[in-house]
Amino acid sequence: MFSAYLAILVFCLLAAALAGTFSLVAGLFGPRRPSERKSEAYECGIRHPPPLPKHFPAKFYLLGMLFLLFDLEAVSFYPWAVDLHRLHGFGLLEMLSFIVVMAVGYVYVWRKGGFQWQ
Amino acid sequence: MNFSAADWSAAVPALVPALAAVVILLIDLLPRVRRGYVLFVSLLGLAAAAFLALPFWANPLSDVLGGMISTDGYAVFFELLFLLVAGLSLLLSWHELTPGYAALTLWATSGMALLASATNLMTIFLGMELLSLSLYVLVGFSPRRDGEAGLKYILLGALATGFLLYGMALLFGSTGTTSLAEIGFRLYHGAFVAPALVVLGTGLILVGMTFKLALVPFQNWLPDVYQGAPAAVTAFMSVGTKAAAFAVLLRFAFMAVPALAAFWVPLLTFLAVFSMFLGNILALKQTNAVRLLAYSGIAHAGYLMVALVSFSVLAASGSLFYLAAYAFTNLGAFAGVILLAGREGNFELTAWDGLYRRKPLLAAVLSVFLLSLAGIPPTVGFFAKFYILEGAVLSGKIPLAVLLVLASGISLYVYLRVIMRIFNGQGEGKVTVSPPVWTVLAVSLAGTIGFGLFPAQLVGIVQHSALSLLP
Repeated sequence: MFSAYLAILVFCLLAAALAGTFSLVAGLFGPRRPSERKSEAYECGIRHPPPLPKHFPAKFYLLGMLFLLFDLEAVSFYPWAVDLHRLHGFGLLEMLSFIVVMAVGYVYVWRKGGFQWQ
Repeated sequence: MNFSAADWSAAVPALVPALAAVVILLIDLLPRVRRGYVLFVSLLGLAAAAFLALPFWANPLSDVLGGMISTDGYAVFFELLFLLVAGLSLLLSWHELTPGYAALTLWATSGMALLASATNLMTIFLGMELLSLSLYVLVGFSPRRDGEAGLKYILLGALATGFLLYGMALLFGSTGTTSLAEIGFRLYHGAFVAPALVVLGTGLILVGMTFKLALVPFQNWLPDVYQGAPAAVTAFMSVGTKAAAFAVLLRFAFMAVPALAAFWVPLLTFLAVFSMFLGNILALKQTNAVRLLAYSGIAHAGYLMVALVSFSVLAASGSLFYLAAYAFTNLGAFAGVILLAGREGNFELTAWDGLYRRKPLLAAVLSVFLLSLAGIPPTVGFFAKFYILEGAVLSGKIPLAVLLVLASGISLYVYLRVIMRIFNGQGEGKVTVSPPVWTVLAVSLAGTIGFGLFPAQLVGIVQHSALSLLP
């Protein structure tokens, strides 16, 4: 069974050898002109921006969390929709109860002021 | 896949508390929320769930919803226990009962009920998460609102869940099924691949579950979390969560991995001995009532493990008896802790000093609970320990039985020290008992003394219940 993986091993070795050769040759024969900008953490020749003057408001985290919650719940509609024909009335009833529970959660968050920006 | 109405009825006892929680969320949106409504709806939901679970006692429904759950005698016993514990701990939390608190308790109860009837790794995981996620938030309802206990619990709980899930994945990978009965069948007949993965998977699942049970060496989180959480939540966790984790572990041991007993029995014996001794010895040094009960809870989990490793139906019914006894006794003890801590939340043992002079009746009642924890007749704690010892001796675990007796000898000193404080010490401070707490004390006392004097009734129940563990 290992012979099936031999090709992959050869591929990996070849890839490593090729990449190694290129870096070695470039390192040995390439010109070097180091500068301050080049040796910064993200070396791309552009001076990195100064630190931001103030903090981000953290209000967004609640909105982000709620988005994730309802988004993930909505995702479960897709597999259900694809299989609806095979699930018949049972599937309809199941999704209905799911939506009711989700709606209660939505109304709860809304009335409790979870969507208020201030 | 289509399920019949009968299939769904087996899941109803577990779903009704969750439904009540949703109703409570809607009540919370009313302009003026009375605590009474919240408590009423919660208790109504719990009572309805108990009423709907009862018919399955005589007519069990096994392997329904595609083999995901079995609502049999075993499940009904635990469901009734959880519903009772949830009801009593809601009464205990009367003074701080908010709709969110009640809803989370009900969701946790729903998860525990699901665990009681779970016969598939998937349902076990679902129940465990429903229980744990609700508890993480409940623990965060601490009086200090600093979230330290909640954060500790969520980090360690997530780790335990990781172990559990990884173990389940390995066991599934090796046997090709998530059904407990089917895993047991395939392991017995050798129809699996990679024996090393089976052992590793089982080991990881056991680690995950003993983490939730807080056995030594996975006990470190317990005292801190108990101390930081609201006392009523601690009472709920110490009885309910422990029973739920044990219910799953027992069913897992009997249905899925009896063929591997030679592997896990020595492992859990080791944990049992260390938990019994370390729990009791560390409880000796505690000056805080909640921490004392936390360490005593570790020791009690060790006694339960003795019943598990004895691995017989008799020992299993002994452990069910023990859990019921512990539920009554420990809820009573926690009611005492909550009362004596007062509104300021002084959980030091000094609050117990000289209680006899201030409130003689309350002092006597609390002493009964402490004696029952120590296992003194005629309380139910004595018969519970006796039953476990009987199971251990008849399974030939005589050294383990001797160690259990030695450990409970140490525990006697732990509880007598508190009783000495009640009767001897000098203390002040007014203790007022509100009607909800009186109810909890009365129910706990009735269970502790009633089943202590007439244990035969409970023995009949647990034997019927444990028999449904067998295929």
